[in-house]
Order: sequence, then C-alpha cells, then structure tokens
Amino acid sequence: MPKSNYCLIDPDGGPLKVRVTANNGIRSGSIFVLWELQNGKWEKKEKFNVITGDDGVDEFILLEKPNEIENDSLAWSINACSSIPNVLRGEFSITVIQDGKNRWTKQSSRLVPKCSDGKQLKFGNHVIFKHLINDNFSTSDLWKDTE
Amino acid sequence: MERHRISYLLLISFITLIGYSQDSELPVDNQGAYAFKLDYNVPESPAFAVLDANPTTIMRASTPQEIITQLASNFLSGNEVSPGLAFDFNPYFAFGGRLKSVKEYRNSYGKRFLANLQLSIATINSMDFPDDLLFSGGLRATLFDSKDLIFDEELGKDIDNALLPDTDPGPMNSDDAGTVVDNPALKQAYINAKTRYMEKAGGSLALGYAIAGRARDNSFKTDSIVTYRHQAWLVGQYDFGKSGMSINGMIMYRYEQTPQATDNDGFISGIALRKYGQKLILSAEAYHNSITESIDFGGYAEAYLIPSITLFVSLKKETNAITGDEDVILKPGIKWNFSQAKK
Repeated sequence: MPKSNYCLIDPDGGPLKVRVTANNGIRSGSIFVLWELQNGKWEKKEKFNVITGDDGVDEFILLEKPNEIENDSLAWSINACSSIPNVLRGEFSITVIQDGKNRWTKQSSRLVPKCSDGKQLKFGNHVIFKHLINDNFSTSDLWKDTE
Repeated sequence: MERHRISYLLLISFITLIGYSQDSELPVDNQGAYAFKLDYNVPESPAFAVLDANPTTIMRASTPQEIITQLASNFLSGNEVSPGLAFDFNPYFAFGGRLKSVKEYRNSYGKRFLANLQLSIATINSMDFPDDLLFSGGLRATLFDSKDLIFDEELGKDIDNALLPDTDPGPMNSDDAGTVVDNPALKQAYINAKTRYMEKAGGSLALGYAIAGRARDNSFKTDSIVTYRHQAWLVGQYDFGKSGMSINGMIMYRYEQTPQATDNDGFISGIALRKYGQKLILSAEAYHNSITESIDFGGYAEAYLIPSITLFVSLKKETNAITGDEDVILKPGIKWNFSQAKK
C-alpha cells in the first residue's frame, strides 16, 4: 500500500471532518464507509452519502473518536459527470481535517464525461488511519530516541 | 480538391490540438474513444455565418451546447455549393479557465459569459470565388439566456440522485484510475429536462463578430491573403413555451470587398419564426439586405433522425452579393455535429 494511503491523526485531538470538492461545475455523488478490522474481519462502522451539488463541496464528521480509529479504513466510491457543456475536466479533492489542520489530502485532475450523454466517471479508493506519536516530533528527535 | 484536403487537414489538426489541451491524461475508458451527439437548439457557427454557409440567415441566440464540429454539405442537391467545415469551441475552458462550481456559474455574470463564449473557424469552397480558398473566424457571446439549462435546479437534483452509488465501497477499495460507465438515470434526467426546456417560455440575446478571408489562387503567401468581409450582429430569441414556437430577430452590420465593388457596407435585418418538435424543426424567415437593397425570404426544415446528423432542406430567395442576380435556391444538405469529450 502506498504511503499516501495512510492518514496520521492526533488520538487526543478533536473529531475528524472529511471534505470532498469538485470544481468546474462537475457534479458528484459518493458513498464513504468507515471499516474496522475486528477479529480478522472487516466490519462496517459508519456510512455517509456525499453530494457536492451546486456548491462543488460537501463534508461530514466521523462519529468515531480519533483514539478509537487507528487502523480503520475509510473507503469511498465516487460517481461524477460534467453538467457544464464545455467542461471536459475537473479537479477533485478529499481532505481529512482535524482541529482545523489538514491531516491528509488527495487531489486529482480527471477527465469526466458529460451528464447529458448518460455517462459517469466511477472511481474510488481508501485511506487507513494511524495515530501520530507526537504532533511536533522532528527527525532529529527521532534519532535521539533511537540513540 | 487538393486545397480542400489541405484546409480540412489544418482544421482537423487544430481540433486535435484543442482537444488535447484538456485531455492530457486519459483515464481507463470502456466506452471507446469517441461518442457522438447532437444537441437541441444548437446555435449556428459564427464562422459559417460570415461565409454564408448556414442554410438560414437569421441566427439563434441560445446558449451554445458544447464543442462541436460541423461538416456541412449540400451534396444531396448536387448544386454548385461545395462542402464546408467549421470547428466551434469555448476558448475559456480550452485554454485553462476554471469554474469553482455550478453556483459560481449561476451567480457570476462574468464567468457565465466566459463559459459560453463560442470561438469558431471554418473553411468552405464557394463559387463566388472559384479560384480562391475561403476561410473565416468568428466569436459569439451569449449576453443573456433565461432558459439556460444550468439554471434548472430540478435537473441538478436529478443528476445528484442519479450519481449516488448503488453499492458500498469495500475496505480496500482501489480504483483510482476510474472507469466511464453508462447511467440510464442520467439520460432520463436529461429527457425530463429537455421536456421542461421545450415547454418553458423565455428569451435570449447574443452578440457576434466574424471575419472572412480568402487565399487568392490558393496561395498562403502574405500578399495573397486578403480579408473580404467583416460582420457583427445582435440576435434575440424568444421561445413561447408549450406551443414549441420561437421568434428570432437579428440586426447585422456587414462590410465587404468584392471584385466588383469595394467598400460595400450595410445592414441585414430580419425575423425568423421557428417551430420546435422533438425530431423536426421548421422555420421561416424574412430579412432586408441594405447592401443589395433587397428583401429576401426562405423556409427551412431540420430533421434529427439519425444520431449526430442533421438533415436539412432550405428554400430561399436570395440576391447574389457578387452579381446582384436574384434566384430561388433549394438547398438540401447534411450537417454532422460531433464532439470529442466522452472519454
């Protein structure tokens, strides 16, 4: 799994907010599911419908506390299409926010089909939550600890 | 014929360039490279208008629908007008312009103006200048359109509902490249929107400018290329709603230089009545041309029977701009609208 699929969060911090954006008048509808691994089996814990709509943005807050979320997977499936006649491409972003800080962001520029053609672009991915050891640790501190 | 092959090749190269300016990365696509579509109430190409290649003179004022290429041909009639090719595109998005959201389109007149600009280039063979290659460029701006589909909030909601996935993503879901798939609910949303569009009364206003040139003796040397026509126009349209009737009024200033007369200028003004059906559009127009000092009229039928192809026939009383001869001309033909954007 690439490192970009890990989201480092503060276990003692505030709740996690997830924001989804799509620009250029692209419309998107998506489902986000929070999965927890219990006894070797993935269990569904939370589910959210996310529609970016006219504003191009939507967000939700995970109910699960950050200190109980380590190794959980947040997975999503997004359908999108272009509603503006001359638009062929748009930028998408998914951001995990905690206490006003962007903990993790995934941005992509994608070609999208026209809604009027009855076609949609379907894509998805997931991110695994990991606890930050220390919000302010530096590499030199880490070496000191090792020594 | 050789010069037309060259000009078509130049246009097709340009189309490809513009297409790739937005298409630098291709996602996985299971739908094929191209999809074809013909939309409803597509405004005429400004570049065709200045070459008199449109079958009608009085133009529409509605919002342009998408990037289109029109291949117009009167080959069915076998008369002396040869095929022409026009490529229309939106310069704002083609060259990197962005919109924040649908709400910004609705609330910002400036962004909406830019998003609906229509830039076009065309080439055509004409018996007016049998030894020359004719080419043109034009720009069209929609000043106002009360029937703009982007303002249809019901359509927005229908699209949003149609886009919600049917199944939950698995914990290790990984489909970052994505695939383009059919969604019948989206098609239904647009069928419903089209019905609302046709039944809604409303108006639109558009402004255009176009310039036509000719390469004398097919030479592209600097001293062989001359401009022979400029025109600017304002066109208004009002749709009456459920009756499917529409009225268009246009005033156009035209300046032209012909081998017979230099510095001709004047106004072309007139009205057109159109009846919109699901598969057939009928129209009649009458206009005054102060350059030829004539009143001309015509009838026009446009059929949408085959996807991406418009069959048309027009019957017009015209006064030849070069010779001044009056004639009633029957022009059956075909328009091929295709767009590359369905990857």
